[in-house]
Amino acid sequence: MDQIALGFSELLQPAVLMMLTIGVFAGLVVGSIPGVNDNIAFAVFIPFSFNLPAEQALALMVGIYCAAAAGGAIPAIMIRVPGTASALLTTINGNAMARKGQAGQALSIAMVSSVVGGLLSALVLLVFAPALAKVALRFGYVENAALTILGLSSVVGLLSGNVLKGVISAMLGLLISTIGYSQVTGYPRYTFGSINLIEGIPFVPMLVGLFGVAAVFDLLRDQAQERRENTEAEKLPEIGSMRLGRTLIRRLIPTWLTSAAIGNFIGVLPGAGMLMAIYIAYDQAGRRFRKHFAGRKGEAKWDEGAPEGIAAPEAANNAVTASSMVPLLSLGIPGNSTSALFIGAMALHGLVPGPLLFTQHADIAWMIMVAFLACNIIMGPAAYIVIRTVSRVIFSIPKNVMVGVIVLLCLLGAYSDGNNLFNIWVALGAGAVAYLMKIANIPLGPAILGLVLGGQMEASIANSLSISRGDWLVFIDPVNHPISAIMLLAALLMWVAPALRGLRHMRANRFAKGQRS
Amino acid sequence: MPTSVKSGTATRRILSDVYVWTGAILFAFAAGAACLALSFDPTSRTFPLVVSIIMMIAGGGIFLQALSSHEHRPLPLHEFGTIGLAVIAIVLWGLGLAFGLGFLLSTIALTMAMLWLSGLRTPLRALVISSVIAAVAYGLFVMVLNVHLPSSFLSFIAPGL
Repeated sequence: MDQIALGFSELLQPAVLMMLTIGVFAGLVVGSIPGVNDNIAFAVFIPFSFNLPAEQALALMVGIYCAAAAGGAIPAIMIRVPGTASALLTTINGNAMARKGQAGQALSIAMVSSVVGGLLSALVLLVFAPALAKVALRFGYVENAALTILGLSSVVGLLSGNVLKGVISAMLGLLISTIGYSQVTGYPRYTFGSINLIEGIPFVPMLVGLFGVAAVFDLLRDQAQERRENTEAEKLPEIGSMRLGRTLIRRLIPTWLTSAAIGNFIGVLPGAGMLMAIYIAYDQAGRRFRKHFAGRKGEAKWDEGAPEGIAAPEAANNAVTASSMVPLLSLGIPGNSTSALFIGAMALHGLVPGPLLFTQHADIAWMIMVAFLACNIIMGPAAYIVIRTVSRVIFSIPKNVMVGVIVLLCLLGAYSDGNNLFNIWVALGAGAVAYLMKIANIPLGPAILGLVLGGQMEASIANSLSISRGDWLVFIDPVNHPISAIMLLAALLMWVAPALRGLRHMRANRFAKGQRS
Repeated sequence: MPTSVKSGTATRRILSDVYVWTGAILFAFAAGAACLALSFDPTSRTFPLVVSIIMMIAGGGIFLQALSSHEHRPLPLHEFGTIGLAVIAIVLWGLGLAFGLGFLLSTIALTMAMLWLSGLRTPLRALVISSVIAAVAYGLFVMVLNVHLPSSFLSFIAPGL
C-alpha cells in the first residue's frame, strides 16, 4: 500500500497530472486520425519529452499509449476506417450502428469498454509487475540469459504467419544490437571506423525511423492508391445521444469481463499483441451473442450492429495496454512494439526497465503503474469531449498535410537526440528498412525485441559461460539453475509448437488433395 | 507454348517475386555480416557470427521456399517511385542542413515535396502550408525545446535559420 501511495504522490503533482491529461487528449486525437497510430504518436512525442523531468515525460507517454488504443474506435465507428489497427474489428458493428443512427451509442459502448478493459489491465499491472520483479531480482546471469531467449522465442513462436520470417526479424534485431563496442570485451564491431557507431546505432532515432518515417512511407503509398482508385470520403453520420441504458450496461458486463481477461492474459505474453487479443475476444463475444441474443425481436444480427461486437474488441485492446507493461517493468522485456518504445522514452531519462527499476527508482516505477489507473479514469470524460468537439475537425484534416507534419516532426525528433545529423540518416535508413520489411511481410516486433535484448543476451550468455568455465549445460542444470531450465524448456515449446502446427496443416492439405483425386 | 517462351516467363516471374528478392538480399546481408565477424577477436565474434549464420540459413530458406512455391507475390514496383522520391527529398533536406542551406529553406522544400508526393499539386497552396509548417516547427524545436540546428547562411537572422 505504501508503494501505491508513493506512486500516487508522484502522479498527483500538478505538472505530472497535467502531462498525463495532455497525453490522454493527444492519444485520443492521434488515435482518431486514420493511419496515425500510437507508435507514430510515440515516435513524434519522444523528442518532446527530452526537456521534461522523467515522471512528466513518462506520464505523457502512458496517456498517449492508453488513449490512442481507445481513440482508434472513433473513426472506426464514424467513417468505417480504423484509427489504429486495434480498432479493426470495431469497424464492423460500430459503423453498422452508426449507419442506423446510433453513432453516439456505439461511441459510448466503445469508450466505456475501453475504460473497463484499461482499468482491469491497470490492476493486473499493479499486482503482477512488482511480484514478478521480486522474483526476477534473484536472477543471476544464467537465468537472465534464459529469460532473454524465452522473451525472443515467445515473440517468434506466437507469430501466426511464417516463423522463418519471425526468425529473420529477430536475428536482424540481434545483429544490429552487436554494432559498436562489445559489452563483453570492448572490441569495436561493425563500426566501419565511424565515431557515430562506436556506441551502437542510436536507439531513439532508430525507433523514430522504424515507426514514424515508415508510417510516412505508408501514408504516401495509401495516398497514391486512393488517387488511383479515386475513393470518395463517406458522409459523416450524426452522433446523437451517447447515453447507455442500464439494461444494455448489464447485458455488456459479461462481455467486458471476459474480453478484459483475454486482453490481460495476451498482454502479458511478449509479442502476442493487441490484434490477437481483439480477434479472440471478438470470436468469444460472437459465440455469446449467438447463444443469448441472436434471433430476438428487434435485435441486430452479429456483424450488423451488435453492441457486443464493439464492446469485446475495445475492452480487449485496452486491456492489453497496461498488462503489456508487466513483462517490461518487471523483466525488461517489452510486451509489444509500443511498450518497446517506452524503453526509448525511459532511456532518455537514464532509466532502464527491469527488476532494478523497483529498487533504484521505486517512485517512477509505481508512478507509471498508477498512471495507467488514473489515465483510464481521465479517459472517459476526455473521450466525450474529443468526440463532441474535435473529432469532426480531425476527419477533415487532409492526409497530405499530415504527411508533411509527421515527416518533419520525426526527422527533427531524431536530430534533437544529441543534435546530430547522423541521426537523420539513421531514422531514414530505419524507415526504409521497416517499409521493405512490410513489403516482404516480415514482422517488426521480433526485430525490436532483438534490438532491446541483444546486448543483455550476449553479456548474460558470455558471463554465464565464464562462470561455468565454458560449460554450456549450465543453462539446463535442473539442480543449480531450475528456473533457467524451465524457461529454456518453455522457449523450446514456443519453437516446436508452430512447427508441429505447420506439419499438421501440411498433412491436412495432403489428405484433402488425396480425397479430391 | 514454346519452351523458350515458357522459361522466359518463369524467369521473369522469379525475378519479380518479393520473396525471392527478400531471401536473396537477406542471405547476402547475413553472409557479409558473417564474413566481417570472422575478422573480430575470437571472444567478440561468437555472438554476431552465430546470429548471422542463423539469418543466412533463414534467408536461404525463404529464397528456396519462394522458388518452389506456386504462389507469386510481385514486387510493388509502382510504389517504389513515390517512396524513392520521398527518400531523395529527405536526403536532400539532410544535406541542405549539413551544407549550410539552413532550416527554413530546406524544410519548405522538403514539405513542398512531401505535399506534392501525397497529391497536393497546387504550388501556391503547397508553399503556404509548407511555410506555416516550417515556421511552427522552428518555433517549437528551436525556441521551445532548445534544439541547436546546424549553422547556415541565414544564421545572422536567427540561429540555424
